[in-house]
Amino acid sequence: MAGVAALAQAGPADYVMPIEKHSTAKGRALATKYQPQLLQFSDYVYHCLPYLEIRNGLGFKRVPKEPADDRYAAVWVRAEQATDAAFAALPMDRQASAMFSRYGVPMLRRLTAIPGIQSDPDVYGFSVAVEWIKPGSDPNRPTMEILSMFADQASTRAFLAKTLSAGDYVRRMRLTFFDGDKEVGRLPIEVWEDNFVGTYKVPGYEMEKGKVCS
Amino acid sequence: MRSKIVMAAALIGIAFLSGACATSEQWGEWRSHTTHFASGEHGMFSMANNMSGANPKVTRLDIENSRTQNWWGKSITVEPGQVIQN
Repeated sequence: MAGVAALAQAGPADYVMPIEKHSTAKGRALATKYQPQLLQFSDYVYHCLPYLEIRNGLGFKRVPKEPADDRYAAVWVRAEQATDAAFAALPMDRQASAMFSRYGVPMLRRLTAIPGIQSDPDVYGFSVAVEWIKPGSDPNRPTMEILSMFADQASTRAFLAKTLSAGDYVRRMRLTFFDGDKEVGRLPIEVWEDNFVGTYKVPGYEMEKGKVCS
Repeated sequence: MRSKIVMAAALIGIAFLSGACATSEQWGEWRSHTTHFASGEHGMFSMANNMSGANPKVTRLDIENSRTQNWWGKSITVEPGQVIQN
């Protein structure tokens, strides 16, 4: 019961990966340096985008199994959504495209806005993972689908500034899709404009006093 | 054990009441956002705080509490280390 009470009070700080969990000195140094900004990021998601949940700690991560210690400002979000027939009818790559366009791009935009990162040579790039429940999966034991991407700073900033096309940006990404417990690999995703995160308001959601979303 | 029974009874009660009180406008709005934040639990939650139909309220803490109830159960997914390395 004590554990439940502690979890119930989890706040933005609980979604930032602890400094010591970064596996290298470089990662720990970045996590220390940008701790206030990471907390601010987490606070924004926590209060302003309550339909998203940060998973596995916001921090400076790297590509799995890569020996190089290239660090990416990284966020993994779970998007909560209901079964939707139109979404379920889409092929896998279109579902992934829709989820990345809706949630992945705004997360990238927010990560790139962290002050200081642009000129920091230790931040190689950005990583976003978007996770959702596979349509039609068992509600008692849902299958999760995850699209993860890694991209370098210059390409990401060029894409967001619209000086690099979405197609070219996707080609430069390291992109991996996971279907439940299976790694599917790269999907031919497309990225399009989606202003959902910037415009949608959860009906009846009452923001904590003093919080402002911008 | 007793607290679990009380919690379950409260949730069932909320589900029943919220369904009974939902207006067609509320459900219309709900349907218009079906791709988002519309799991049954969250829907129940939203409606439960909107008994009068005039001033719906859901706080961030409410959402956090609902997540900790683990209503998705154990999921089928990969190990985090397959997606990203710390």
